[in-house]
Amino acid sequence: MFTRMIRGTLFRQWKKMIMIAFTIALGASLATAMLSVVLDVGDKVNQELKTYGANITVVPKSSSVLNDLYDMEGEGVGAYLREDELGKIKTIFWAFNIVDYAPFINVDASLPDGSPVTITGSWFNHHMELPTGEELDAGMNSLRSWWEIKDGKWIDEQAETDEKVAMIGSELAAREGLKAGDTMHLSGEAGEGDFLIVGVYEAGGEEDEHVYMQLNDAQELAGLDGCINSIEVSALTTPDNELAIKAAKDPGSLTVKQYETWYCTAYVSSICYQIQEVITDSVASPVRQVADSEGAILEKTKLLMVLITILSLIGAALGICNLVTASVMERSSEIGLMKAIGAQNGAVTGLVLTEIMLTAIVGGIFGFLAGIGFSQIIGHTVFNSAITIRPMVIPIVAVLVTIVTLAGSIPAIRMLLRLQPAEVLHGR
Amino acid sequence: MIVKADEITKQFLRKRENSNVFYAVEKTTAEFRGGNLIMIYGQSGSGKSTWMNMLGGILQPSSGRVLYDRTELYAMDDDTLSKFRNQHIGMIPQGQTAIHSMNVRENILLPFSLYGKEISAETGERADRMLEEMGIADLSAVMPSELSGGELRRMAIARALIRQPEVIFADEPTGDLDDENTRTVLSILRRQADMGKLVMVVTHDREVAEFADLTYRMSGGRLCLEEPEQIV
Ligand SMILES: Nc1ncnc2c1ncn2[C@@H]1O[C@H](COP(=O)(O)OP(=O)(O)O)[C@@H](O)[C@H]1O
Ligand SMILES: [Mg+2]
Repeated sequence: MFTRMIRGTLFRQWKKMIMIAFTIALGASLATAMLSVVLDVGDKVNQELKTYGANITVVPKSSSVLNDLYDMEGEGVGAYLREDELGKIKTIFWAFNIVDYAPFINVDASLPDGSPVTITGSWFNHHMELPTGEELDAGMNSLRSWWEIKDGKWIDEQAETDEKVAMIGSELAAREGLKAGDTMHLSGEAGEGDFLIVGVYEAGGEEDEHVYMQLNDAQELAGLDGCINSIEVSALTTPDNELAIKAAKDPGSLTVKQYETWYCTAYVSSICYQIQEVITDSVASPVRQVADSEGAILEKTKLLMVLITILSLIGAALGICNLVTASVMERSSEIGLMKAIGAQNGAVTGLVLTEIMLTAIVGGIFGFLAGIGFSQIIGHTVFNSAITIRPMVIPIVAVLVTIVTLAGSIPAIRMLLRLQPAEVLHGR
Repeated sequence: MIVKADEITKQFLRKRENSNVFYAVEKTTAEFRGGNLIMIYGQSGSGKSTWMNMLGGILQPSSGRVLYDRTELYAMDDDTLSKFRNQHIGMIPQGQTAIHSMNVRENILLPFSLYGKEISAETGERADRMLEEMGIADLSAVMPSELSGGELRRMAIARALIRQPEVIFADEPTGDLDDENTRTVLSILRRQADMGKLVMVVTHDREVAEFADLTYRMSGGRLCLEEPEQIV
């Protein structure tokens, strides 16, 4: 009979109940969309920002000093970083914020006709299994994701082949009449070999005259086993503040406490500092603008979305509050009658709350589904990719819907409890 | 069962020249015994409903006590009082009262279903007998919105009687009924009094008097026995 009564009310007040469900659906859909985006956006913004390339470069100390002194491009100055230390970058305190990195070595070589060509050796989709259990495909494929592949494809390090492969710039390809699938002979200071051209790229800079190949192949040509010129790192960073600026000038000037705070915050300067700690004789320096904006955009986007969610939920609670109060008022004489013939407050409250919660569940489910849709729209328009719905979103939204519904029902319930049967029964 | 009003008053807020409150029911002491049909007669606005609601446990007096035998009604907490009403008091409120999402039979069984009890076969039978007695057996499955005023009133009476309470209150039970319906309703209530129940009927309708054992007059919040020689 209880269920019958609830069904009866839901049925008779269907317009109000639909309004309640709709209000909840609106709130739930926004909450779902925003939460999904916020929970997923870290990765999405990462991907988005990775396309701007690295935000930290690491070079050998001597070359850095020369760079600073003579303001010249310090390539081939004679000092090298060690390839075998590369893995250590993923062991620093802020390892998880390092989303990508790649080593570079620059080698001079010549084509069969004797014309010189610059060769760069690097990682492409270099697969790493880290001691932490994390797996990472690092390298140029993502660090230079804006390169346009004119012909063929990226070098695939994971392909099982003995053939040496290379990619060439579009201008070099045009001048030499080369295309993907051709073989090219290159001679360096210490070796030579045939390279299969797997792709032609257009970078929109001087790289369009260069040849790119895997790190080891380039090292072989130059006889520089285990040597690299520079490392580019793409790291997720916290926007700088005064402490970070002070520390960037000289970490030694900080107090112990400040040092600790700084070291344990993902400022670009502290990440650089930590990289220098693990790479022998290196200088890591930020590529400023990108590093600054990266963290800021992410934080601001998240904050905005959380704000929207909170506001929409408050709005929903207020809407529900009005509707539930109106619904209770409309039925006050029935509620008074029930109390007069002996219904306890708990039973009446339970009845009304059950109705509202049932309505809320329906609204919540519709809202959740709509929210998944919204989040995809946001994902595609803002971040250019689908948003993965974390399972975690479901309980969070369920809890939020419950809280909002209950909070919205409080005034109505209070009214119910205060309701004197004699005052609402007919004749009053 | 003896129902006793011990110096009860009820005041409501109302702007007057010299004070902000007025007494809907002035200080009154009275005692009523089972087996009687009590009629409270008075003009509209004289405080009859207020009086009856206080005695029926749905309106707290401003002062004084209401006793059911030795039980003080308003000393109980809200839930206990609700349960007490459910078990011992049959209330037929003024006007037309029904839960509109339930049919006639379900409305009559409401005092049972409020406590989540399964309706036993015996109770079901009693409900059917009640419907029969009230002459609305064929309306059992009809929704209240389709009933006439007289039918609704009889439904309300059946609802008040279903738990066989010792005390029955009826507020203007014949207010909007024709002569025939009035007689049916009053004889049903009369029979309850004859069975030993205490029945209190509030009305502005003189006709009730012939069914009553005792008649009181309510006037300006003051209650007085109208025909003292009839005391049983
Ligand atoms: N809840 C209330 N608030 C203010 N005044 C009330 C309230 N209930 C009743 N009254 C007033 O008390 C007086 C008696 O009302 P009532 O007992 O309903 O009269 P009756 O039932 O005899 O017609 C009336 O003047 C009415 O306006
Ligand atoms: Mg009245």
